[in-house]
Parts: sequence; structure tokens; C-alpha cells
Amino acid sequence: MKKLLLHIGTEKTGSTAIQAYLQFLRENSSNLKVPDDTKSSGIWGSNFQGLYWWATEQARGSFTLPELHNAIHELVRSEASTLLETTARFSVFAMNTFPSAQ
Amino acid sequence: MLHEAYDEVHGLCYIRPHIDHLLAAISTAYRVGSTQGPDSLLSSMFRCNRGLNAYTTWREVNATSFEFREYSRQALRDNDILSDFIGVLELMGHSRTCANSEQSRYLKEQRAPDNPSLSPRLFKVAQRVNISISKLEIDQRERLKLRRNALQVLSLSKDRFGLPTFSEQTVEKCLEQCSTLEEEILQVAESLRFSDYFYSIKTQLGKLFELQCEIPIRPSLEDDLANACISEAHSFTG
Repeated sequence: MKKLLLHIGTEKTGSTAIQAYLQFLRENSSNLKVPDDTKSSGIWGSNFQGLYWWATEQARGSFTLPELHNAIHELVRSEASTLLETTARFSVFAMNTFPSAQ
Repeated sequence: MLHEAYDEVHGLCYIRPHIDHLLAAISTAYRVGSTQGPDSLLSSMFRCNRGLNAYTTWREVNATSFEFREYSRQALRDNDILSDFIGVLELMGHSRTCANSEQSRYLKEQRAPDNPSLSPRLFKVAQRVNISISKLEIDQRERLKLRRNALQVLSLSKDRFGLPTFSEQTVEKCLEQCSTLEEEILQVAESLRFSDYFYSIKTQLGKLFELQCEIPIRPSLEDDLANACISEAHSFTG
């Protein structure tokens, strides 16, 4: 059973804190590997995978449904090697739809 | 495509109560240098209504489940977004796959402080700070540093300062729009179980209005406060 949690970060709802947590796991978990990918921040291991992806350009402003599907499709395509080929039983894909203001 | 790789795909999206969202967005606008007045920002942002848009859009995604949760301190587990998020992971089985000690250590020791938010009472002073700094003939890096520090001084001074934020006219106009928005939210979000606070937009904005009425207006004080913040910021940027 493989599960994916897709977190959709909308503006001003703590997305940066969630991203920082994934960063922490990446930097502090000796059993997790660090992906060689500058587009996204991510971690994965045999049981757990976490990725953070910024969809600023594709997703700025209010979505229409086709735009939303395009954004997800682009997200999956750009991370296909880690998302679709993972053996992790549990994955978190945190997608920010707005840029960080900081 | 996702369903080819996963047996279950769960969506999660947080929605913030509308007025809280607006005030946070205005605070952020000043932190990144806006020189618009709070009235102007509030009027333009009120129409954006992103939280509601997020709900109406994402609920149509073909996921195994899609959950909307309220982003407000009283609704979050432990009054904290990260703790709440980890709670969702645990419900899905995450606790079996990742050490809880790591989560606890992060929450207790590693977590950066929350984004400091400017009090609405300080919006006008923040605007003055940004206007003044935008006129200084300094390089961009120095300008950003000075602005960050000046606004930090300002945000730490909220107990000392207090000024009216929005004009009576703007607040009343927003209150009128609130009625429409409340109806829309109740229509599209009928299946959600959010707190009463989430739905009571008029109450949220009304409280802000009442708060302002208790504060006397002091002419030219905004400029004085802005200059004081910039001077103090200069002392630890130079």
C-alpha cells in the first residue's frame, strides 16, 4: 500500500513552516538520502519520502481547474524520477502555490 | 498519473479565516516594501478572496480524499500549524515510518520563530517607513537590510504605538461586502466543519473597527514613528 499526501500550500497558511520541517528532516536524518535536485527540496528513504515543490509561475493567483491540472501534471513530470519510481510506502509532496514573501 | 504510482492520493489544504488572511497579507505587503496605504491594500485584497477560491478549485481534484483544514490558532492542534500537519501525517500512518523523536526535537529546538506579523495598528507607520526608505539614495542590498531592520523595530514596538489603521469609510465598505462573502462561504463550504470564528467575518472586521475607535488620532505621529524606527535601524545596520 503506497500513500501520497499532497499538501497544497496557499498563501499565508504556514507553508513555509512545513517546508522548513521537510528541510530539517533532510539535514538531520542519517537514514534518509538527499536528492541531487536544485528545483525542489526533498528527502527520501526506504519508508518515507518528502518533497517540496514551488509552483509559483504555473500557479500564481487563482486557479481554474485546467490550470490546476496542468500545474499538477508539470509537478509530477518534473519530479517523475523521485515521485513515481519511489519505493517509499509513504510520501509527502508539499506544493506551494505562491512564492514566499520573505 | 499519480494514481499509477500510488494506491491512495490524499489532498490537504489549509484555509485561513478571511480577515486574518487579509491582515496577514497586508503585513507581508509592507514587509516586502509596499508604499500603498492600508485602505488601498485592504480594498484591493478584499476582492481576491483566495481562500474561497482555493476551496472551490481543489475540492474538484480526483483524489482518494481531499481535506480542508482551518488555519487559525484556535483550530490547529496545539495551536500550531506544524503540529497539526504532523497530526494529519500520523493519521495516515506516518508515525510508523518516521521517528517521532525527530519531530519532537524539531518542534522544541530547531523550529524557527513564527513569521513576525505587523500589528494592524502599525500599518500606516510601516507605509511611512517604506516611503522614506524608498527615497534614500542607497544600494538595493542596503535598502532591503534597512527596511527589514526598521520593520523589525516597528513590530517589536507594538505595545508602545497604536494608530488607527483603516478609514471608517473603508471598514464600512468591507462590512457591506462581508455579507455577500459570508453567504458564498456558507454555500460552498457547507460540508466543512470550521470554527464559528471562521464564518463570522463581520465580527472579525467589526472588532478591528471597534479597536480603532478607542485610539485617539495624533496628527503627524506616523512620520515621527517611522523616522524613529529608521534611525534605530541605522544604528544596527551601519
